[in-house]
Amino acid sequence: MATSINQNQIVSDGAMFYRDTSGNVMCTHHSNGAVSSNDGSGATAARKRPWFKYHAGTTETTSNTSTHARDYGSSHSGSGQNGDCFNTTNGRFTAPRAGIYLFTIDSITNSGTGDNRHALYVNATYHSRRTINVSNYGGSHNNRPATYICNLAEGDWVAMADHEGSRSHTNDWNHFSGTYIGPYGG
Amino acid sequence: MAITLRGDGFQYDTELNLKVDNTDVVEKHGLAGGSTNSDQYLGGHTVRSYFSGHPNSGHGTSSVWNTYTTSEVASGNSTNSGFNSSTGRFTAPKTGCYIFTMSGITNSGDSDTRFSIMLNGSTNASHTISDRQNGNYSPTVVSVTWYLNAGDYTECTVFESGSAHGGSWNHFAGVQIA
Repeated sequence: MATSINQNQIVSDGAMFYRDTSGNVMCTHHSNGAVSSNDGSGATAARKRPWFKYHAGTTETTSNTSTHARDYGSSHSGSGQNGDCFNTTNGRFTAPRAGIYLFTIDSITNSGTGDNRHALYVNATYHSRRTINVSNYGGSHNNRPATYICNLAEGDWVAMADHEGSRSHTNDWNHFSGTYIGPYGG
Repeated sequence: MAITLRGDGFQYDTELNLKVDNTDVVEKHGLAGGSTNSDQYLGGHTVRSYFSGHPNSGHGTSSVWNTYTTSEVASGNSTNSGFNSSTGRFTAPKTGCYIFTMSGITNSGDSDTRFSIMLNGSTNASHTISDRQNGNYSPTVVSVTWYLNAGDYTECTVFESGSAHGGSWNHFAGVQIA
């Protein structure tokens, strides 16, 4: 790492740290020059790490891989998001930048006697991230938790969906959450 | 006001610190990283050890899952990740904290089917049971955070009663987080 002081700027491998004409302390990202927080709180960085957690109000029974759980509500405890990364209407999380992301799903079956197949879709395909359960053994509801660690490109979208069989239970009985771990170092 | 530079420079993965001496931080600043939305402050360390894939076929009792595909969308196997996609074994390249997750469905048998992410060959390090019952598939998932020493290894198996379905019904993934 090379670090230098140039008049009123500190520069380290492309990142800059300086005071602007208004007296704000400014920082810029080393790779794209984007300006970071200048509120001085320190809490901003953690607060805006991409994160979401919601419960789907609508689920579907479909083989259409572009139709997924949607109408996510925020009335359940601990729900919300950082970074405007999750569209609660269509149920899609869109990666704000490339990197490694962690996603968790809780869902239960709702009814019916056939297979209920649930998946995490990335750009409309589940790519081995799916599971299966049925309703009619041990009662009408059976659980299908899932955890996935994904390497996403910027702009990739991720959603949970039923891709076959009876639809999942809605609201309290499912959740979809995710967060950013860090850039992929190859 | 003095700015103190550390020996390793002033840039960190998550923040820049303005200090009045070696210990007192007077301002912290998150680093922006998102080109889509410049208001995204993205922390986190650079991930050097990551893998995600699925075994290409099913595995019977006591058979370690192997022969993985890691080339699917949103999967991968980073350089020197420690994961051998042929043997299915992940060997920690560095001491640190890792998250692992495996999922799968049963394929045969009508009694308890016992899945595990084994740690150094031990099946009781992280395991669970899935009951297939009357001829249908039954799901399972095991997720665990472990602090591993370099050289510790993990791998997936059904260690008792039944077998795991093959192909895209299973997956195994891991990442070093600290």
